[in-house]
Amino acid sequence: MKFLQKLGKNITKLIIFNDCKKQERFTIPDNNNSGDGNRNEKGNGKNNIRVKEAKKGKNSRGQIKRPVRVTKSSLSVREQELKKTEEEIKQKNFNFEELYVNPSLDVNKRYLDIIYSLPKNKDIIIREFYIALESPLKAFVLFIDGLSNADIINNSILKPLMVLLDEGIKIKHGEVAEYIKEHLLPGHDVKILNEYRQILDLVNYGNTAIFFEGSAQCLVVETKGWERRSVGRPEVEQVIMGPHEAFNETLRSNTALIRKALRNEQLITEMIKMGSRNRIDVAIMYLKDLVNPQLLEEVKRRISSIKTDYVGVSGVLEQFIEDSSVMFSPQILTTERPDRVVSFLVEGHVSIIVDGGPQVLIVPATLFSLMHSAEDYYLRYPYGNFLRVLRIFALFIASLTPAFYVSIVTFHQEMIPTELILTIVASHTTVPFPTIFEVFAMELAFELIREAGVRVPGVIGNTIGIVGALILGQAAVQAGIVSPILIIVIAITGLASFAIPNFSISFGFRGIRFIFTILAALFGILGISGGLFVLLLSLVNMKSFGVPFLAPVSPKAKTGPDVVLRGQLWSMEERAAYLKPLDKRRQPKISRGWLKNPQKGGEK
Amino acid sequence: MKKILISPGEAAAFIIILMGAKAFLGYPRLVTEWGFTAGWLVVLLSGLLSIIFWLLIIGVFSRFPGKPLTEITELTMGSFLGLGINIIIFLYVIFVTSTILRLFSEASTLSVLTETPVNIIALLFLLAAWLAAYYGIEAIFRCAYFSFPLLSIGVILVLVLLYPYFDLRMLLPLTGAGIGPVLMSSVWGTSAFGEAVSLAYLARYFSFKPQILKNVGVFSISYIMLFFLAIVIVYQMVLPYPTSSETLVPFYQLSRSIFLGYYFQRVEAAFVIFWTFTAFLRISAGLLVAAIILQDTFKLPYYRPLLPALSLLIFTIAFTTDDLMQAVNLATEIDMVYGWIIIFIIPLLISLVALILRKGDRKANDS
Amino acid sequence: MIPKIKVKFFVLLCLILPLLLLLQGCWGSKETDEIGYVLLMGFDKGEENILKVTYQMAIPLPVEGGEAEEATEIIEVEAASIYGAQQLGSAFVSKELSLSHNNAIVVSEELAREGLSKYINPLVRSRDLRRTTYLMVVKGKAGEFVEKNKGLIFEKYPSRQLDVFMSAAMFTGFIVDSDIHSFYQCLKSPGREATTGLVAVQKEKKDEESETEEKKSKSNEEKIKDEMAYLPGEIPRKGGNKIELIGQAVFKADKLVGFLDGKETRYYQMLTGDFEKGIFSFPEPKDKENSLIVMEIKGRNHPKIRVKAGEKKTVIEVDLLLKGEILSIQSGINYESGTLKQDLENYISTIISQDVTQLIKKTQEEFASDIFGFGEYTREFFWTWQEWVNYAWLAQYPYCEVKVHTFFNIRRPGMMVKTAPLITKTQKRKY
Repeated sequence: MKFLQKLGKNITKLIIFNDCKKQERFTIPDNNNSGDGNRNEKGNGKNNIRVKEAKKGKNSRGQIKRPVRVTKSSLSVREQELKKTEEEIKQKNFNFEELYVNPSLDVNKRYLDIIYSLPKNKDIIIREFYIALESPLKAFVLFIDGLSNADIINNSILKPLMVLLDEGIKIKHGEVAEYIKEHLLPGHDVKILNEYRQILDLVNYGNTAIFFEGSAQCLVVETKGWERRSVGRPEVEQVIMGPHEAFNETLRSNTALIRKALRNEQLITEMIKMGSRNRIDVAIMYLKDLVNPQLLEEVKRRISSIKTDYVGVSGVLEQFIEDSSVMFSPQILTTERPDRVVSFLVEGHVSIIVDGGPQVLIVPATLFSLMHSAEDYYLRYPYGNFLRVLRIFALFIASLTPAFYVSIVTFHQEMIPTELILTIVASHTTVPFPTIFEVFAMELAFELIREAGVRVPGVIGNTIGIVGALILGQAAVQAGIVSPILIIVIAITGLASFAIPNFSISFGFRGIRFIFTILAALFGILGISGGLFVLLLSLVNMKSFGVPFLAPVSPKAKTGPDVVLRGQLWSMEERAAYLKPLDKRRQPKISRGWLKNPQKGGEK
Repeated sequence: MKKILISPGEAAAFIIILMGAKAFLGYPRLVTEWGFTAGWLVVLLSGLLSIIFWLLIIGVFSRFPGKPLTEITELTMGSFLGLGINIIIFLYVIFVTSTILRLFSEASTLSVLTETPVNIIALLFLLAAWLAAYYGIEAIFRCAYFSFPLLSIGVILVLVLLYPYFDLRMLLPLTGAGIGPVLMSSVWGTSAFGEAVSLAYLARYFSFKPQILKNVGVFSISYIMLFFLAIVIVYQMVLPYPTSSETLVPFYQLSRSIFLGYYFQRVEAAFVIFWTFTAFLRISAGLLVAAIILQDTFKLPYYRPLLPALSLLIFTIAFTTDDLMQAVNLATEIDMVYGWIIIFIIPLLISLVALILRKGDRKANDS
Repeated sequence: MIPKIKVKFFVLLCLILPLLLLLQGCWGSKETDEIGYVLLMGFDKGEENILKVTYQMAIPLPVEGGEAEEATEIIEVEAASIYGAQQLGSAFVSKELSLSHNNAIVVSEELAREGLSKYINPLVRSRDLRRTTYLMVVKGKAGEFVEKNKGLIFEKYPSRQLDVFMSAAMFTGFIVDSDIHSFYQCLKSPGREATTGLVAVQKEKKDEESETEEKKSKSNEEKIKDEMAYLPGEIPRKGGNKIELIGQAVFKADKLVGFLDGKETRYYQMLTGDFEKGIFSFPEPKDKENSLIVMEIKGRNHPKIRVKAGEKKTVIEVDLLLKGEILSIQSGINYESGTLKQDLENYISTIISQDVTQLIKKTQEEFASDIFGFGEYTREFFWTWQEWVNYAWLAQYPYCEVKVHTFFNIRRPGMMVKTAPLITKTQKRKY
């Protein structure tokens, strides 16, 4: 047997070329970590019950085993415990909720060395000092360089404790942290904690932790101060009349912007931590006396039940909590303007702010609210409605124009006036491709231009945009690849898709455009009709957090005059009933009090 | 399974589409064949007669609150006879849907896509209908509710754009074929409004009481009657009597005649969207109603597994006749001339039997 | 066990593959350059075969650059039927002929006299051709008409030519807006006979001598009155397009029986209520030979027509309601106001009533065909269709008595309120 095997091996060696020594390129070795993505899930630690008991013996899953008793001990009991804890921390699945601050400063330091992999990790700084009490107390500060504001640390923590203390302060043994917090430390947001998990979360976010010798508690001072973008102009949703502020990437400034516009005690900000490797804050803001409690429950339930390792941008969170990720239309509204968020909050929606990006999610959303823009309300009634009507046209044009062009030109030539069709024929004679191919080629070119325009660096960006669009179109016509009418069709379609205010939904309708074009090429207007039917079916079936997507038209719900066209602002008396808010009435019957006594103006 | 609640508006829209799709096929021509220049009179009389029928049928509903007509049939006529009657109604619905499928596919072939084989178009219709019925009752009802104003506007637009042809003298002589034939044909014509009875078969899904159901039925029948009236009157004015009995698809012919100047002619392709959309809705609705009737007859918990089989059945029946004229004649025979018996008289008998034998929950009646 | 995902995938593939078959060819879609668009069609009696069809096909001019020689191409085919001709046409034209942009159909006199009902049927049933295409009779050969249809205006863009022609002619009242739809409707109606517009190619100079002699023998008065009384092809003129659109062809059932000239067409339109406006010349009542008055007459309202059963015959009473504007008073007499205006109005009303009565009598006696649709006014007297059909109006029409009354108002005097008298230079002025 062995001989045969050897023979086989040698023959294969001969047949397949000489096994020249391949240079082993680096490949990431497969580490058989259980990795369900969540490091610190409760119950993944010691209490994890495995289904197959038989495999208990195998140690490959990195389970926490019973601690090994070190029989021969040359170390003191304390050392043994320390070693044990260090072993535990080194395990990847260590449950930090069970690690507490140790009264001994050195032990804490050793813990921190292992947790943060110091001294390799240069961002984390531990600065030791003595607090100038009667008997100087040893302490150290833990912070992350770059995330914390060094000035605050110097002036509000180190200086007062090291330099500015009065003479002769004595602190009792068990009250160190409390005493310092209440008497000696001038920080505006100080917490006393003893669980490592909480401390580390806060330190990771820019706070500073102060550990004291002999105290099982530590103080965490708020010292956030990293480089951040200031409140700037909105990049995507610009309006002509209205505020020009937009959110930025910091959670606190975003909540501040909303609070600034909505000064109400009932406005509540709840924070949920998300992500296992990232652990960022997600803030949910709502008006307590207005929002439907079940809606709020559902939102919180969905967000807190997401287990993933990194949710850094609102777009990622949106895809995790939306009802249907396959549909072409978004079911959650994103906006970067505080004034829009506030107007939605006042109607009874819930807003979700994810730390790290300027987009805020508004939930629930209906098709009509996705089609509204902020400017409709700030402008006067006729102009606002004009914009709305224009937008509806834009919606239809953006999704249906190429399809109509293809179907009319290939199936229903009689619809076009004769001169126009003669022109089309004249220009089409030189084109070697069928119409559908022309349309797809130009569509693709337009999409490429659009995408390229976004990615190209700013300096060359503008030039290439104009040059690309114009010259590409012109050159294509002159080369005889497309007919000039098609350029106009594609250009109008593109322009119309820019007129749709919400970026996601404009993407959706741009995508549908291709499906409609294929249907039109196959079945003419019947195909377009069928496509519209299926589109309407899918829209009607979509739900966004329990609210049907086409409410208030489709299941008829009472709402103010603000569905397709906008009513007068003083006549928007009721809130949208499909949200089932707690307070249905917005304005009294006569909201313009000056009308009650029209003659009295200027009398006083 | 969550209880599905349909509001009165949506139910009315659904029934309107269910009945109204006929106006785009041969109904105007049929009516002028029966009544000559008094086709509109036939429409009016048959509309009023169907309202009477409907009120009689719905009278029995107050005794059986919340139960669909299939159950009531079984309760009043006994299980064996009731089963038989339900199956007859089910077959009728299937047959009507297949004739409509066939006629709409032929109309599309005629007007829009000349070369495409008819079965592919019918397949397209059926696939969309299957998808719609699969999505559920709410989806189709809401779709109907959302789109029926737009479809009405499309129809009205066609009618209004034909104003250069309006000539009221074409509607005279008043009684056309004579009082006798007109009255006879109005009885036959009630089959056009027969689908209103499907409201009774879907009673389980409605969120409103039988009182409102009655109003919904009356409203939809009168709305459709007005629509048919408008279409038939305009049709008779634009294409006066002898020529009006000649066209295959009257509505399409009407939209072809629009000529408001050199630049506004030949626009019929735009109006094709309206009636093909109605076709999609009508066929999905027909499929849904048939599935629900079957589900209730055999007391099945769901109707979705029935859909593939029913679609295949509809497709097969639609293409049993080879040529179009046979299909049209068959449709006229069974749908129109005898349809009213099946769709109105049978439920009427059932309500009479229920009345006579005094069956039903008297408690609900007394409260 | 086959893993679930693989089964699903396989099933999905099996479902999609048939759908891909749908993409193999989009039946029925035609590229625009595969189709030849016919703008005008003419039917003649064929020499070698039953029917000769002449097509005017549009040649698309290139968009940028390139020479544009001809904008249209004339094709003649002989076949047994209209569709046959279309099929044969595709044999020598590199495109498929399509009638979807067809503006008008012209039928030759010969063919119309034999009866149009056999050709109407394919035209009405056709998918391509609409019932709104114009239908006209050519006094002469249709092929010649289509060929000679050339003028400098719209030469490069022939598609609009006929439509503009028709609309221009319609508001002078010279030609009736006749399309296949109205022809077919009148054909089938028991209350009316069909009529179409009349067109022809300008007559060659050869026949002129005999006719000019005839014409010269007319008095001035008659010339003034018969100013518009031309059949197409006979207008004394030069230049412009070679074709002329004026007049009407009268049918009885489906056969052509006669023509109406331009003047009569305008009266016809007054009787049917389609008259918009026209310019009429009348001999001056006080000086009929030498001067004339020109009025622009517009229809005021639909004419009031009543059909009554008289003692012996059925009486048709017609009230024409017209209004006018003075365009020219050659004699300078102030007809704009006062009793003179009344006189003028009565005078013109009488002339118009006489002419209209003459026209109606002509249709009764010469053609025996009720093209005005008086029969439609008898509908209200019957209860059922059958009764009306049995009444057989069309057979009774030639024996009816006709009373025409015109109500004519001069509404506006144009830009001048009166004409100051001309002082003859030989008169001495008395100071």
